[in-house]
Amino acid sequence: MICREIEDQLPLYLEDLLAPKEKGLLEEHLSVCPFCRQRLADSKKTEEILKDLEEVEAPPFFEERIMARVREEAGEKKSFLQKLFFPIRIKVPIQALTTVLIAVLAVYLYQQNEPEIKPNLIPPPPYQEPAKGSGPTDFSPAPQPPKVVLPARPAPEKDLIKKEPEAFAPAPPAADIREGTRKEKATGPLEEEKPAIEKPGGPIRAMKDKEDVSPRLSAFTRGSERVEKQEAGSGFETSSLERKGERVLAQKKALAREEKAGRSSSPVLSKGEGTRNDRPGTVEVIVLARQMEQAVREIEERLIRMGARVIEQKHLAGKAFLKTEIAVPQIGVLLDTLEGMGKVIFNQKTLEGQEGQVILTIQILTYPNPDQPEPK
Amino acid sequence: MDAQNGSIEDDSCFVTRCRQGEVEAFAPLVRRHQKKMLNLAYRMIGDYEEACDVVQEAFLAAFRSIKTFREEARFSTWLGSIVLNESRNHLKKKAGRLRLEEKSLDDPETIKMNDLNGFSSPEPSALERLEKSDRERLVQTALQTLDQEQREVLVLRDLQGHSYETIGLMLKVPLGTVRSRLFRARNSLKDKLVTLRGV
Repeated sequence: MICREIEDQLPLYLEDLLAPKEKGLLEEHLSVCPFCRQRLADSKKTEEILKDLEEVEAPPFFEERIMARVREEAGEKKSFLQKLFFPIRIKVPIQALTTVLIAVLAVYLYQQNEPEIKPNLIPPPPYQEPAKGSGPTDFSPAPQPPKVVLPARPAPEKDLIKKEPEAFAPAPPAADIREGTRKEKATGPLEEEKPAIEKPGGPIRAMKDKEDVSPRLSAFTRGSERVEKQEAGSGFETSSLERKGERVLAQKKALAREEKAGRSSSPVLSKGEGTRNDRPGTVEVIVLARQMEQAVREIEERLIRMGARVIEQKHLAGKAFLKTEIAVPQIGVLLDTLEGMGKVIFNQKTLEGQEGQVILTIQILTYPNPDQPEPK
Repeated sequence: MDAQNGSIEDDSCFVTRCRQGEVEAFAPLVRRHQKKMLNLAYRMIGDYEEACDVVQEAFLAAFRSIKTFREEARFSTWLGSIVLNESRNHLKKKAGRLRLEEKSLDDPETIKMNDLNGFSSPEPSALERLEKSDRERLVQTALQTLDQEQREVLVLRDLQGHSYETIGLMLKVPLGTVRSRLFRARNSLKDKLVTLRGV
């Protein structure tokens, strides 16, 4: 064995990895070759030196540094979809945009399918023409669509009183009318009007003729009801209509009584008023007072306390007139008061058949000497 | 003898999970082999900071190519090969700028050497009389003076404890070559040590 051959086997010899035969040959060579022995020793020494070296330690957070780069490396490999939706800077705007689009679509679809809401107007009652020839007074307008026909007058009541005082019938208490209705004997037109009576009006008879009774309608006249429903805010006119209707009814009653009694209702001293069939009754009384002015004042005060309404007051030469609306039962009380002032001239028969309110005209004359004979 | 941290079976489990896309399964592999790889890179490069960088790159390279790793081999062997490659690349980039902290023999710190009588000398050698830190620095310096092939076998065998077969696989050379390189490498290192400090 030569030295050159030893070189390859010396590391194995050191590790005792040679076969026994090769090992024997190597040891035999070493015994005679100092050079190889030196090289074997050097090799062994070097090995020991190297093995004696201490291992260096990894720096702090070395693993974390490596894994951070590894994760970064892994993040770059995400799919397109993952890149699209993972980053917040992309995901949030996309989600916000999607939400807005969905909201817009929902509103659009709702508006397309939203049912048309129309105002549920109350259909006007069917218009019905009033019966022909029925109308002494046409409180309802001519056959026209249900619209307001009455003129918009601020105080029609007063105007009526002034212009047609004898024709004006103030609104009686409902009870009176109903009472009058109940007391009324059956006649053709009145009977027809009974079911509709509470505030009767002109067209009542006509409407009743047609038998157009709606369960919704009250006992008010059809015409007045129609106007009531159709007139928004014109309650004054409606109430005046009602009073007109009441007056008409009262006049009809008066006419019926006259027909029955066969007499006129005009008082002795009637000036022609109240003779009309459609007007309330009128009564006159004459008072011969010593002091006319004083008597007028006292009569006014008395009428006010009694709740009577002074309609008109006139002063002429030597005379004074007071027109009042008073209930029939109160006339007796008033006459007693008047008798305390002076001489009272009154025809009791003028009260017969009178009911409810009447127009009482009080004529006050000056009678200086109560001993003078009564004027005729 | 092969000094391996962790069992092969454990490495295979984490490697499998990494191959399936589980990134965090790579962390245990890093934890187990980071020190050994760092020492391998440090002994090859000779600079601690540069060795840290090289090892990071080596682990990244291993992660990138984890799916190409054949699971019948050892992960540590495969990873060591990557570290050696990264180290070679690094040294090439440095283009022969090895930092040798050689000290002249006239350096006052140079310790007079006794005659080297091999391992049988009863008296401690000059190297042995050095402080440990100085000794290690001297050895490392001597390693850097060796050519790359000798350095690799020395580091893999005497420092890393790999078997001749493993070294052959890592360096892709036959076993005979590994042995002859190792013998020559040790003698060369010895001569360098004598030249630097005296052994």
